[in-house]
Amino acid sequence: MHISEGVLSGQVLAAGAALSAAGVAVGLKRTSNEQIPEVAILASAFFVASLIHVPLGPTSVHLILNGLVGLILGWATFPAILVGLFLQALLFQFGGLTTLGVNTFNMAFPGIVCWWIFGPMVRGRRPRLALVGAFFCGVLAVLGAGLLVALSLYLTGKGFEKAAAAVLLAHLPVMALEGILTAFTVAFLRKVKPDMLGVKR
Amino acid sequence: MKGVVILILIFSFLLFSLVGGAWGHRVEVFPYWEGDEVRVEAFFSDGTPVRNGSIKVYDPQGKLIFRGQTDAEGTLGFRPPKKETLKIVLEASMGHRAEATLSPPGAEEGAVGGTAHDAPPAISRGDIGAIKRAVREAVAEELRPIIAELVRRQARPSVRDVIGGIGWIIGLTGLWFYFRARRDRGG
Repeated sequence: MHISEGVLSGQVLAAGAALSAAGVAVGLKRTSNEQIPEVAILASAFFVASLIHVPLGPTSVHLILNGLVGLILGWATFPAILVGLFLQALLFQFGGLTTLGVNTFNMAFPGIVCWWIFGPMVRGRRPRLALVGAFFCGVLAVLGAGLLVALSLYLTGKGFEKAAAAVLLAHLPVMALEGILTAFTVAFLRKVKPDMLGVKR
Repeated sequence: MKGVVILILIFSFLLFSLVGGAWGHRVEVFPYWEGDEVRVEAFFSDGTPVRNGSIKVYDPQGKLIFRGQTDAEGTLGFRPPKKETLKIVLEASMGHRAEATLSPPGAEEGAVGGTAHDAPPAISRGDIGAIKRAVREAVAEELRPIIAELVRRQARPSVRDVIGGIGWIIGLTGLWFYFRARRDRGG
């Protein structure tokens, strides 16, 4: 899901950077002091997740965790993912510095959308429903990121269908895995530290 | 507190699973000469070959002279019209891209004539040149797997990078708290 340097057009890069800057600004503003360590921990998890290679499917893919990050952090997903991607670009040469904005938006935005949609279910009283919500949150956040990657490529002039098909096919195993992972994490957090999810007691 | 302990456990698990050698995501392209042909190897940073990656080759003037796709092993061979410095660009699916520059074989051929002076007179200059060329080719062939391995290693992040990155995040968190504290005290 990391788009490399020199692939996208200037307009797409600029648009991505602007959207991400706005997202980061909102995220920084809405984060309470108590939430800052959570942002740090999830930024670290996101940073490391890209190294966990999923050895299924036609090409090399890795965990993204944007659904989980979105579910726990809400708007603070933007700064967390920005920092994670920045360090991945700097230390691993994944993606690149010019594509930082686009990549941040592509991964953070679906996470936040899933938090909007599934957050109430995950925080709700019924544990089963919370699990189902968390599973779909993990799956759809990856799906959304894949579609945004395909859209970025399309706006630069690559065929959307071909790009989208490649991205989605490659990420089917990741989607399944992230769904399960997100569900497990939510089940666990509901027991151990429900306030991290914003569950009211 | 319990949550923190568990998060630390999850982290150490992640770190250990990394040491097992499962690495994500970046592409690398490694071209070399084989006689008059150029061979290109393309792989992800975990060593998986890039299948059906698009390869474009440009001459020193920036003109596109060849385009093709890598096979199931992530390799591709072609015969360039001239032996010159080539720029090779790999584009894999999902916006991955890498490029490499390949100098012509024996780029420092000029040195051959200069050192021939020290040779015993029994061997002519031409022979020395031929021998040097042969040796250079043989050495290049022997070194190829070593260079390929070096390229692979460079593409693979180290545990040190991972721990360093987490350190950065801790530092940035501290910075964030610092600014929050200043703001809160000021307001």
